[in-house]
Amino acid sequence: MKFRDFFILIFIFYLFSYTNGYTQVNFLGKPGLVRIPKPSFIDKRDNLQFQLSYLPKDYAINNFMNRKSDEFFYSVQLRPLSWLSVNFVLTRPTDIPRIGIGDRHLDFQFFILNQKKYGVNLSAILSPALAASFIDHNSIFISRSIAISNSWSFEPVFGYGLKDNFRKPPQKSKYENMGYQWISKSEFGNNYLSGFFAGVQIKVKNIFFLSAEYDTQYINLGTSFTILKKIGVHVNYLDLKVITGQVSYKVYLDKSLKRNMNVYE
Amino acid sequence: MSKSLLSILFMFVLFGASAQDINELQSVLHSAGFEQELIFPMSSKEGEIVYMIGVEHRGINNPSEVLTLANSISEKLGFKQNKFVLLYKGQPLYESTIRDNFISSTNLSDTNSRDLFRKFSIKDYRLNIVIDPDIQVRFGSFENPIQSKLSLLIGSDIMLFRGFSLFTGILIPVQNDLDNESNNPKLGPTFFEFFTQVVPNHYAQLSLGLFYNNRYGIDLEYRFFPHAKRFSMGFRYAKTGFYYFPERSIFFDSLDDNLMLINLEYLFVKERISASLDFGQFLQKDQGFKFSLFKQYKNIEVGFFSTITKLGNTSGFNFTIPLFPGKLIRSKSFELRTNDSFRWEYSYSNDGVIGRDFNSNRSIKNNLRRFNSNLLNKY
Repeated sequence: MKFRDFFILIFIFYLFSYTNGYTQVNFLGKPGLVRIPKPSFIDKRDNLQFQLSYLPKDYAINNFMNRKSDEFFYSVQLRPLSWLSVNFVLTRPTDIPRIGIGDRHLDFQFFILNQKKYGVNLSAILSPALAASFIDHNSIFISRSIAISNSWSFEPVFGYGLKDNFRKPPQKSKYENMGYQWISKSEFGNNYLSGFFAGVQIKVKNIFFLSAEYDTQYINLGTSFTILKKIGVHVNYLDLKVITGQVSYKVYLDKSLKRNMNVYE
Repeated sequence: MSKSLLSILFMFVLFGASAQDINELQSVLHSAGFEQELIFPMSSKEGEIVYMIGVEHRGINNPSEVLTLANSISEKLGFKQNKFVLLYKGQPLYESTIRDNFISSTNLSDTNSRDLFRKFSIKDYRLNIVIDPDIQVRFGSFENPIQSKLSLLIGSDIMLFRGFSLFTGILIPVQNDLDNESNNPKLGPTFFEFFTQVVPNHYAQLSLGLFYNNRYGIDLEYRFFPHAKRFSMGFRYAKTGFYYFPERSIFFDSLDDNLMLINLEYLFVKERISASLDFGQFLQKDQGFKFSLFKQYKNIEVGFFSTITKLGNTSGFNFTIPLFPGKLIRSKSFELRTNDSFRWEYSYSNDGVIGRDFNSNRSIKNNLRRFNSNLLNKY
């Protein structure tokens, strides 16, 4: 990471430094395990979340330059409505020159069913066909959280990700029809969430998490915890071979500023 | 300290309100950051005097919190029956009453408005110096993907008379690899601005000078904003030119860029989301539409937008947040603080000319949005 990137992160921390929080998320910043998403969220309060995560070259997923490299993902999540989350991901490969800012990806997660009312959590992720994103994925997944004791619970997750994306073919390709159509993701080197995936997450008091999953390619383990009361740290054991990680930071949007309402200080 | 203060407060509660108490309330409100605290007794209700209290607080960007704060201070000082009037640049917006933590609002009558403004004094405004970062970033250059220009604007809205202010400041460059503007401290945006309520629910603002976004000229905005309704609309006309500061001089381009925009906005109260449509001519004679969604949080506004114009399409987001740490120094007539409403916008397109406007952090379209009285109880 360049000094500049570091400076920008620090600056974002400064801009939003008046409030904080934490939850378990996957490497793209969505509620989830290691690489797979889950259909439930811990936090009912409105928040904005920033995250920086890292994938080593051998497990890189964003193929937009047709070359693989270590990847940093900068992501931001906002849930403006109780049933909708907006996710923005910027991929920055490290060792590829002349790539501009990186691959920008936008998707929406719809929280369709929740356990309280329907017994299960059901959710879908839709990536709008913006043509330029190389980690587009569309999937649907279901889970149910089962309490073991007051503070312990575990939550199995099952899901399916489409192997094709609805989009325009790239220019200079073999396609005769250049309009919108279903095209296999693997043609763009996109193998993220293609097919069935599953995992299980153990939760202790909403602060400590253990996850195990099959993400359609690898088997991964992950754990996450909080440091300095503000920063979520995730350590993952990817493919049971390499250790990766991510750092997340959350801002509660409806929290009163103490400094505004403290009169007699 | 707090114990003795509490016992003083308790005594006030015991002995009820008098002229001396009004002075006390004014001074406590003032030290809590309020700049206008116009108080007069209106009538008597169940043996208690009903007071009308006009308040303005430039350091808190949520009107609901301004009212709650004013009410809790007033109640602690023994003022149990209050009608609050929110002021924006010294101009009244509407009248609000707080009962059991519920804020209800009605239009302010002319008589009350006149009575209220007998108490108005421009001298009550503090010299409010605001520290505000000015960040411009352009992504997408292959060689230098993040070109940025970071400056610190130390500025102040100096109130000259009711509704009328001079904004001026110093811009201190911190870092710049975006353009070739000089690296010396220079004059920040400097303009006169007049805001007024033409008739109830109809507002207008006229500004003249060197604006934000390197634009100079004249800017007129009108808005129909019924505070209790979901729908509002307005138009904006501006004749501007481009200016910037090369080494030790100032450069003015010709004053021939007309901006003409009509805005229609609808508030979804429960979700606190405003759907907003601007259409007409943006800067640089670009014509088209801009559709935005704004969500209000307690001290934050987050917006997404999509623009379709002659020059192309783009989308992006913007946010308005209060900066840390807020108040730095506050005395009777001076305050130094960080910006309570720092606004920043990101647009997907690199060119930056699609559907652009200027001075958006000063427009009444953006600044009145939070004053919709339907929102006051929704946070």
